[in-house]
Amino acid sequence: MTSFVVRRIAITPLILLFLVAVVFTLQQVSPVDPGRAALGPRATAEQVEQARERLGYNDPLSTQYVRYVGDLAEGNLGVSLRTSRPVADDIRTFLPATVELALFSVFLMVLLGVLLGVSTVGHWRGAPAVRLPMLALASAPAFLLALLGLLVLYRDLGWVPASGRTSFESVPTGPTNLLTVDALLALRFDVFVDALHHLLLPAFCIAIGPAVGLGRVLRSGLVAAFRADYARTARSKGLTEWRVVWRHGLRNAAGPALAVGGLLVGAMFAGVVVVEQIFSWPGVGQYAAASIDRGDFPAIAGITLILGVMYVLINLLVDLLQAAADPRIVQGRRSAEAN
Amino acid sequence: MGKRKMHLKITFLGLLLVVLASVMAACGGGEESSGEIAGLVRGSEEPSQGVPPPSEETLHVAIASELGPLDPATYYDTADGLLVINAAYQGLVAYKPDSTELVGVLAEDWSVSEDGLTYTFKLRPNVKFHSGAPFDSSAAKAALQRTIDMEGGPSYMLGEVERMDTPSPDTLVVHLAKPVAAFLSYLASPYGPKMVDVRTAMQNEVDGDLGAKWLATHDAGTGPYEFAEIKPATSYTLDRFPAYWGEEPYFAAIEISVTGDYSAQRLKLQEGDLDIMPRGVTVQDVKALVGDPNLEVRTFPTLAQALINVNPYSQLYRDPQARADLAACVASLRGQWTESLYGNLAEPSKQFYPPGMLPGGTATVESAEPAEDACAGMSGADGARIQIGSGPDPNDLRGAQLLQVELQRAGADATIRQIPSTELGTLASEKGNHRPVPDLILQTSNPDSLHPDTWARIWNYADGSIGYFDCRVPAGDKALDAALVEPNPEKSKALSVKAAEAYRDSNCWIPIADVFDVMPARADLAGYSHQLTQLFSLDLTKLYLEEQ
Repeated sequence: MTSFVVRRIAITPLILLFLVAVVFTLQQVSPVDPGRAALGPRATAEQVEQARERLGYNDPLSTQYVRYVGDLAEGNLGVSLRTSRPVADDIRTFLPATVELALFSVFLMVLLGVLLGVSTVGHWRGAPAVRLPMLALASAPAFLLALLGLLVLYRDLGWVPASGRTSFESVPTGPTNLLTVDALLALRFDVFVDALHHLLLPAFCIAIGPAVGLGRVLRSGLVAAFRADYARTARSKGLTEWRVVWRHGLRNAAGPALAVGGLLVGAMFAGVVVVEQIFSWPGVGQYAAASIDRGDFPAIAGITLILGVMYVLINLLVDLLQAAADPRIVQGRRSAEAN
Repeated sequence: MGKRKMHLKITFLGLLLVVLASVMAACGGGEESSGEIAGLVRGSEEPSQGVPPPSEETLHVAIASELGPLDPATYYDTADGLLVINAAYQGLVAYKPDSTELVGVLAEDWSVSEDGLTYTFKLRPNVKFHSGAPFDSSAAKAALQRTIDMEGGPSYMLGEVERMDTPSPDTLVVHLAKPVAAFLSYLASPYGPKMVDVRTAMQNEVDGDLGAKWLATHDAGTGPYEFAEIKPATSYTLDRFPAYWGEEPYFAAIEISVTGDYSAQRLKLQEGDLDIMPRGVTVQDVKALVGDPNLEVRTFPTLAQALINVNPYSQLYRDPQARADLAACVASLRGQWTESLYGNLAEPSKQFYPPGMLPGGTATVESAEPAEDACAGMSGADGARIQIGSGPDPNDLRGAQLLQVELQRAGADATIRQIPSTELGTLASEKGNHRPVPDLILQTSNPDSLHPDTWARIWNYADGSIGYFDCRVPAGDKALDAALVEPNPEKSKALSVKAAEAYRDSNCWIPIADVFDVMPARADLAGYSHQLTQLFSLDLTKLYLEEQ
């Protein structure tokens, strides 16, 4: 197990180095002039040329690449052409909001995915009432779902707020910058409830699609697990159906669901960009959208790298969880290597 | 069981369809043709005597994305930022709302020497910066000098300033190296030089940045509002400045929130969470909002123009006859396209320059031929491959689609590519490369200010910053240069007309429509003051709520 973890961690920097090379190449082949992006569409050619020179974009490509990687190693992601602030500072400002939204979305994804998976396997009478709406909602793209949610739940029913992270003017601002956590730490339960209220609809819009994907994979795993000998044995020992599901079915079906879950979390980041725009969520999604619109490559590259790192780390975590949930995975690799 | 299940499914699907239909309606997926929209209110309002006394209300406005650094010496980005900057900062002069008439702001009066080289400004007394420091001629000189030294986008407007004198605290004299007929127009531009409290900025200077980093998020102006709080990517809050020299504004605070999606902005406006939506309204939105009794949709004339840029290095349009044929085709369809794209939210362009910029100026190319004849016979179009670039405005894309249809009818293989604004700017930077594609770019744009030079020098002049295709018209450039240094306004105007004629006859730029600004707002909002030059350029400081 230890060597599996070490190997899995050791390959991570290589993946990230590859990602850095891809991001740098994309920047070079983009038709957007960074000097123009810094000064706006009306600047004169001379002003643009001066900006290119000042920003180092006229240096040879190799010099630029070495400087880029060197800066990254020091945690310097460059300066945003749009905000004129260090990209690292910008990301530090905007990332907590996105992380909070993503975590809550993952929580909802797992909750709804398990609900869907378990309910559809169990042949309960109420299963269609869960399955049908979830399938229907998951078939709509996130932006449409967000607008639908705003129309019905904000405009018509007034159940949820339309935008932002909180309605409070004064809120705790540390230590994590995750509003729900900081509110709990500061014992501001009113802020905590308000923050959850603001999280609910955007997180649901992000989570529902992946949740159905997760639920389907879980369902397949559960069906196979229920037909297995150990499930039959458990039932014959007099265990209730719920205990069979929780103690035996879910644990055995978790492997594929975890693997897909890791990939789905990556896909969820795409939804985050759109949903943050619609709900005015002050996260990296909004920051990325504004940066893409302006061709702000230092910012785009910074976000890509940070999200890439998160994606790699999440999949590393998923691999480790899979191995913990089902030690046969590690054993399988070991025997494959032995052969 | 089977029947019940089926019934449940049908009921659910029916409900889903109804909800989806309402989403589509709310998103503005209405009719295709635009047509006449009734119930619109037009233009700015005359300053009224019935303005209610200042209140404790907050004005809620939305913008689409976080703004760049708010230092007025370098801000040259979307007009959204002008809503914030122009509430906190003021220039020496400005244009009257929806008018070409100049008025004094921090300059009470001004005069220009006969040779057009010396501008003398009599400054307004008793004006204070937000720091409490007095505004005088040395402060004005320092502010203009800082704009020059910062070398940001707007600095070109002061490019010919040779030196400045301050003979008395209320007199500023600006000497130009050569006459610039557009100089006052530049000073009045919404992007134009603002009076920044340089002393305060320099107290916050870091690494010789002339206070730029500090001014990105703080203000040092003289305007009726001062920055109170900036929450990154969330909102910009401005509070009323208690020691403002002019009339106290009605709203105690202005909150400009960032809502990236215009459909969400529209919902918030309908729910009363927003008071006004300054941009992002489509024709379909207007149709949906105009009947709402709680809202009023107001349109403003602007100098924005939708036009086709023709690439004179493209395979087809290097031939002047092909460009002339395209211009004739567009001329025959101009009215029909404008109607289809904008309804009554625009008018077909009748002049080469945007309307109001050069009254009685150069007419557009017109066509007496019916569209079928004018477009079918476009020389060289049959079998040609034509790439149409479209600007970021949704109407630009729709306009490109209309153009594509006509080119296809003429036998061309026409394709469309929507080009982001920064890539468009890059095209302009690299125009010396003379790329053959795209063949055409359809884009809506507006000038920095009202003088014809502020339009022609960036679009039509050789090396102009937004002349995408490097179309060179020496006769036009010569007349434009002469117009700029001509101190006599009438002679200068005649030269501008001559320049426009030369540019028009090159058929490198084909105007389509003069586009209005459209802003829906709560029905009791009043005091609209809008600038002709810019789209979305509302003066938030003049707004108030009418007493019901």
